[in-house]
Amino acid sequence: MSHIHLPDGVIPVFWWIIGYLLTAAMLGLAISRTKSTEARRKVPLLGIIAAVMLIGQSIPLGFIPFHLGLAVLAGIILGPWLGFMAAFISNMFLALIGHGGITVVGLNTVVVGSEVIIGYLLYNILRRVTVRPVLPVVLATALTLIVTIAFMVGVVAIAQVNPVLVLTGEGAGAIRDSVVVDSPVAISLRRFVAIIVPIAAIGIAIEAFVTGLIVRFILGVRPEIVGAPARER
Amino acid sequence: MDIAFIDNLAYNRDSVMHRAPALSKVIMVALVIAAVVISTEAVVFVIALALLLMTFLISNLPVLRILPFAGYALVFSLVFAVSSTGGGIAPIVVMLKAVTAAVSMLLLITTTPYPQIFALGRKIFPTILIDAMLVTYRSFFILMEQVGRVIIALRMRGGYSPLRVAGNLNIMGKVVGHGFIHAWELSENMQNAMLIRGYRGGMPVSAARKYSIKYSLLPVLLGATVLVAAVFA
Repeated sequence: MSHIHLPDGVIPVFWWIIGYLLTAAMLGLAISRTKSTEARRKVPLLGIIAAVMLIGQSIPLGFIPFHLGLAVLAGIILGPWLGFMAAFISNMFLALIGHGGITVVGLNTVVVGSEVIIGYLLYNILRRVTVRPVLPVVLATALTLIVTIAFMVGVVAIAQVNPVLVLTGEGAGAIRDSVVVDSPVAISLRRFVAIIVPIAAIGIAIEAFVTGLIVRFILGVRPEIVGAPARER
Repeated sequence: MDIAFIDNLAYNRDSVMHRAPALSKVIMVALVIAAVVISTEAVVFVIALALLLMTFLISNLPVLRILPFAGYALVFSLVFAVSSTGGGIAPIVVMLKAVTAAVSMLLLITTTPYPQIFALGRKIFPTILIDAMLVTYRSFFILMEQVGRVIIALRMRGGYSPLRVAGNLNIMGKVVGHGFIHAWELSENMQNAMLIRGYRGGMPVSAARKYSIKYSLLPVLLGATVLVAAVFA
């Protein structure tokens, strides 16, 4: 588990609607960027990689409460656009069994989808600067997860802000003063970060290490799956 | 595994809730989640949980085996509850909100097969997403069966032990890598089969049993009761 699936009832309505709108925009962009014939051809791959992500998220790693996310690997295999769709599908399935809220599928998809896109971009940059095939995957996974966990903390932080003040263009001081600390949904960001950071650190280490092992295995058998030439076999 | 167990309950049990159309149960979830969003009164969530649990019982479902799935929501909401700045019972309200929403989702998914929910989603989501969700649903069971066999083989040969975390991670990398390669080959076969059958987008979904409008009343009434309690509490 490299990220927290936000549950229902902790994020104000305005912000989860923004999450759904962002996800809808990204999905619309993803579908328009994928030619219709190519999209039809890749429906099985998209669905099956989403299923593999779900399986990864279903298997606990021993007695510790962590599971794999596999979003970066999905980005490497599917590319950013289809990978974003896979993130949405896996979040939707998980929300239906109470693993992450249904109201926050949009926000959860933005977080996991950004993991797919950033992971894909970093992997493609890093593989050009190193000759070792597994190292770029490990580095891309670790760096991506650091960025997306910071992003998720940002989502929780911004969810504390009164949206009316943002829409009317109020200053930072007024926005800060508007945070209602007596509300059950008001969060102490410092405490939240103090809880999240150690959990995330273990999660990042496990995810980066296991993703490297997965790619090493794939490179030995079917390197073209991760876009590697046959010489790396 | 979670989804296989839930799918079995949705398909092979019979009750008033199972015979109710998917739309009526989606409306029930929407009403319960509206209550979760607008209410901060613990009593509302206690009432909602009591009603939902009673409905589980009359729906011929194993409540004690299903409720642990709400544990995901409980664990994730715990992070927010501990970080809550609200005093008194505010942390408990945060957890009750997440658990109530999750239990309502579980009631939906244990009485409605996934494809029936996706069929409703066809009115909202693009065809490529719904088709990919149906492929995810189908391939999840194929891949899960294979992963299950590999894990049994690993356990029999002493390759998996809950206390050997490093060893488990190494083996997990190989198992998931093998799963990815199998998934890739499965997608190639599925793609060829779909092309031969003239796939042009839009997979048909047929109902597993006869749904009757007369059974719609119970889920809608349940959701409406929870929402009324939230409004007037």
